[in-house]
Amino acid sequence: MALAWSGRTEAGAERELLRFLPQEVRRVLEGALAHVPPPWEEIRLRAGRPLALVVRDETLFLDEAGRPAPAGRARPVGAEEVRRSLELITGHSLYAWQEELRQGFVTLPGGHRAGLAGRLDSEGGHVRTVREVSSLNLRVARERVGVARPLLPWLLERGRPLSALLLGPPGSGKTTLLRDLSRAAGDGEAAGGGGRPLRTVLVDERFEIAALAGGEPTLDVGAATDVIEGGPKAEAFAVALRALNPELLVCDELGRPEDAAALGEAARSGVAVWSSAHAASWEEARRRRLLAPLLEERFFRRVAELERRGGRFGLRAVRDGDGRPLDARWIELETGSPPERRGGPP
Amino acid sequence: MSFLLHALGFALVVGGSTLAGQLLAWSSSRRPGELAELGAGLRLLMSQVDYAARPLPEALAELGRSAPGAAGHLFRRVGEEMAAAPDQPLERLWERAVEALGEEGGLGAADLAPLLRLGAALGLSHRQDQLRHLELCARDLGAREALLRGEAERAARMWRSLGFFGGLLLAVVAL
Repeated sequence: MALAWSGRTEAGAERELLRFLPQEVRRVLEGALAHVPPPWEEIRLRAGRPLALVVRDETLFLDEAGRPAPAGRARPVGAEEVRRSLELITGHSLYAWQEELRQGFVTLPGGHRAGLAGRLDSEGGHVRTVREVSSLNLRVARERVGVARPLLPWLLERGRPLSALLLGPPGSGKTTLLRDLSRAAGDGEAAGGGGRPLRTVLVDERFEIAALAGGEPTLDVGAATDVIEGGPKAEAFAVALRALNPELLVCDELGRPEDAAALGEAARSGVAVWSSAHAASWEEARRRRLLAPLLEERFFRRVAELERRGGRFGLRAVRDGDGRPLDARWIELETGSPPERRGGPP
Repeated sequence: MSFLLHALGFALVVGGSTLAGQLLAWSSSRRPGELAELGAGLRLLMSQVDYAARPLPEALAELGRSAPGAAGHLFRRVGEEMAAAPDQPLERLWERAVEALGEEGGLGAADLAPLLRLGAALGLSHRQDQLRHLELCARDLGAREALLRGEAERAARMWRSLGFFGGLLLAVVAL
């Protein structure tokens, strides 16, 4: 199985994020590119605490030169540096990202995500925004063409897509896998290799799967894939079913009761849905109030459990709609043939 | 011939002095005019923040083209500096542009103080808070403009009269 980092080198993704950091922090991280080879998963800025990277699920503190160092000798991040990073992330315009800040994250060009922590400003029992941001978590978005291939045969029946749910804890690769599933469906790879692209609608509520820029996806989500970005899933599904005649809907992170209702609407229309949810396993998903009814009604014909082992992403099990394991082997999604790289550094 | 020369000299002295008075009168009314332009510009910026939720770099670039006089000048300058040095805190870029406005135009430190205070808050909070800061600044500029406009009208009358009568007196004494 050949994987490709399409359009961006590994360090390219990290470098894309550096421009959202103040010059002094950027200098340290540019040094770190030599000492801590990419791929990096996260860049962590916590006011008054050491600058850190998360690489293969492991936290590394960095010294002034960007070398891994114990916490006591690592370079601390100033509160002013966190504030300036937030200015750069929001284009000096926090008000323009109010809804995103309320949810605790901002999606950056290229699908990267900046998570925020700080003092919550509430009104009437609802979070209005995050004030005095004290921590930033810049998560590097990765485009991994081909990672969906081992899973694809399970999600198709005579070339037609079956509704499927990806389960996994945060950081287990659900979004990366969904993006490649969307690409495979829209490119025709999903339809049994026959080359018939599936009419796919990608509902990208958090702007991180396709990362549209000027209407064009900056990440590969498939040639026959329409993208609906922003907006609640329920409304986006209604638009897709009314106007775009999809064979397949792809969406990230089921989390609200309305999402379940929207899936029901899609099922009644005979349209398959590939989606994901936070849950470590089938058993845990069955205990979740939102997911339990969907699983009991056998809305999903396939459920795939994702897991990280030793910093590697993989499939732990593929189940049918009743929860019976169809394949319980560990299948690594990250390795295989060495990455075949397209394009040079940006 | 001598009479004609005297008459011409008389007319030149009185005319020149009157013109100088007019120029001083125009200059004293320039400050409230610039403050009014800045107030109008801030209201345009409020629309961009409130209805369009447009990020400042885009909003300032657009208003740099469409806002009147001093406001257009200020927004254009900040927008250009943001594009050239995105790394710099906005507060610093705004402060530099406001100071340049004072140096190049007729506004003094007291006139510009509300704008400098705005720079410390611009872009750094949610929409309602931004609107409050912009509204407060526009109101402060408006109050300053009203104060200066009264003073300017009195000063303009004084300069016009002084120009004409001063010239007349000078011409009578000298010629």
